[in-house]
Amino acid sequence: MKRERYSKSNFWNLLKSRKLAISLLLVILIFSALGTQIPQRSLLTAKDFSAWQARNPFLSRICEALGFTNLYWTWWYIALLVLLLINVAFCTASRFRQALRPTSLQSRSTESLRKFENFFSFYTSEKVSGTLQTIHSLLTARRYRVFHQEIPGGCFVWAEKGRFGVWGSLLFHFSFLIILVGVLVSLGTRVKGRMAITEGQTFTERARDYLVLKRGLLSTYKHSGFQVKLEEFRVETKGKATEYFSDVTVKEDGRTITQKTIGSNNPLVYKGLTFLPDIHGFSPLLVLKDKNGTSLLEAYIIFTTHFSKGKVKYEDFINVPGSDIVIEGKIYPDAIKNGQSLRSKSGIPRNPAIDLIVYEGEQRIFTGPAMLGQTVDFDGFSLTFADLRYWSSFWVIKDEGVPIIFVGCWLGIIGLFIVTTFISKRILVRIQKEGDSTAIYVAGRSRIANALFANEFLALAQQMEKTINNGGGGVRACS
Amino acid sequence: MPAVEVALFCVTVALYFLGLCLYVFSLLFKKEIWLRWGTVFAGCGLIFHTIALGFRWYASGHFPGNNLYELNSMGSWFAIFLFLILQYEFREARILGVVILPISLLVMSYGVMSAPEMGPLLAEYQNPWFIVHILFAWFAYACYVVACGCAVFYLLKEKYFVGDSPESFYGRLPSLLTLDELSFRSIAFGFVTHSAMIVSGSIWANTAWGSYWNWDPVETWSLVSWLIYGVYIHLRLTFRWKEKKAAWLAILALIAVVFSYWGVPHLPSKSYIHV
Repeated sequence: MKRERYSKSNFWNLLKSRKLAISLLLVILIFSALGTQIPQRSLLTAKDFSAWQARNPFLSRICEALGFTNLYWTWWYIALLVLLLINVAFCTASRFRQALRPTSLQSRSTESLRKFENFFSFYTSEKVSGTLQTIHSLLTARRYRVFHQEIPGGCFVWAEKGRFGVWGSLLFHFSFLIILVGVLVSLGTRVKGRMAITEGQTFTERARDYLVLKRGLLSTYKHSGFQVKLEEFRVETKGKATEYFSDVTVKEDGRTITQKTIGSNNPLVYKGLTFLPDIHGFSPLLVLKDKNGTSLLEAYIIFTTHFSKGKVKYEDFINVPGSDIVIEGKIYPDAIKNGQSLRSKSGIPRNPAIDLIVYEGEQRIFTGPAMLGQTVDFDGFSLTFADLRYWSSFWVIKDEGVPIIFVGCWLGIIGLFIVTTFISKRILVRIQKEGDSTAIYVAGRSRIANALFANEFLALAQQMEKTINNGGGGVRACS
Repeated sequence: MPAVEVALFCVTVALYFLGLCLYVFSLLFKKEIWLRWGTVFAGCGLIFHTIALGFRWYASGHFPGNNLYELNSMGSWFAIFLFLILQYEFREARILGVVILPISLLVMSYGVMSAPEMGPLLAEYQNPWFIVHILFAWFAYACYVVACGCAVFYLLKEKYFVGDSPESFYGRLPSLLTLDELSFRSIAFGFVTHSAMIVSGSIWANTAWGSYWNWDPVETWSLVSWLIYGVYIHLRLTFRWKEKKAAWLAILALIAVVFSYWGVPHLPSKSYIHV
């Protein structure tokens, strides 16, 4: 029974141990730094990640096996964070008890006072009671809270200020728990989707209209069904900086609710959903007719934007519905001839062209470019590049954990501010009769700024000596 | 760069350089008066530096945080501002000019050699939280540089000062206790501003990219250096790590900060979205 109690108390002591906190911080910082040296799947495109794997087959295999390529989401990394937070929770609880505990009013021996980093002693011919009054007044004038108690042959004085600083440390550590709650809420309820709209077209806020939609396990979000129409996508260039704007209209039941220009740092927020700009590209209007003039395809097709080695490509393929025809295309927004092939001078659609390859089954039936408005005929089909519009994609996010996280963060900063502003200082004075005179032993301690406090302490102790030996002149009596 | 700005920049650099020379001469030739003049030149340099930054802000129409020149110039301004403010509380801190001024000059030179052109603010930067993020970042880094300077002087004095020659090079440095505490207080203040920097950056990222934390290498290294200073503070307050051990830790921690600013963009993984 005794052993069980002992091991239990050891376990709790370990959980609230500051050594554990330091060890965990060190391990976490080492692994965090390591994660920046190894390519992370979540931060690279699949293509770039595969390229790294191909370049480093042995290293990548080891890293994959150890989970280092997704380090921040491995179970053991999360476990380390959780353990640190448990440790913080226990430390906070222990600090809370300390903060609530009243100042210890236990007298100290002269020898014990001598061990303090700041110590000063002097003698006076004044009586103990008069000396106490002067010391009390001096400390009160310096905004110390003063307590005193009689001891055999004299009295003992405790003075402290800046005790409020203890709450700062508590608040700082407590803020981590709030941040944890925020992160859990965020992970559990976050809704994140991606959608793309071509100019003039409308996105309806429902599951099937998203390209990608991820929901937290605890998310109870219900789609609102409102509509977002992309009126226009604009590219504005100022010197070297290029800005992209999407003019959108939000509609509900056919009524216009609001209009907004979405840009970088300027998202649309509606019904708790935040629409952030992602990437953009081009949607050509392709019209394919067969030899009878029947339209097989007439639609704006969103062509994927590819980024590779600092270059942007707009290319994709379309399976024509109800046929075995596949159209492969590559858009040149500002096309110029480069020998037999095309290239684009810029990303602005000044002279759009599309490079086409058309297959019927396995057979290639057409290869060649088409300028905007041009129709190409092949094998009895006609294909018209009728129009070109921009498309813009958006991240749609709903995260209820974010406000909690930021409240936690700011509380933490306020806590740190309190810690560094309200520095806890303590002064202990032992006044005792020694022969014909009165001996005064003064000791002091500051938890944080000891060198600064050393000067303050010395000045205070010298003032005590001077004032007491001058008969306490000029010092008001304590109440 | 407009001619006025070039002139202001040159005057600033010249004044800082003169200040640095005076600090060094004062140490070498034991002339107290030169130390005072060093501070006067550093102060005048700061005035011209402020005008140069103000001009940049006015001429470009945005907060100077668009490229390395602007960022580094702001950073140096903060370091020297902090150094001059520190002298009010600790007169002996004047000697830190021997460390602060050359670091600031190096940072400014690196900026002016990389990209000094004035341009419109990038779309990602057009957010008030970005300004808050930058200001806190530089305040934190300036504090850490001051702390590292104190730590270096602490180690030098601790090793070479024999105690019987107060007029010697090491005798003229602030007392070991003051250097130790100045280093700690700078780190404590830097830690507060570093925390504010991470939080404001996180708010900015949430507005710009819809995510408050991405484990991007720049973010992660900022967290790593924050954790290192967190460990320093815990070791100091809880385990009474002081003096020599604390000084070495302050120097090592600054290496992490320098890496997070200049080293991360050269990482092989290149997997960052941070602008």
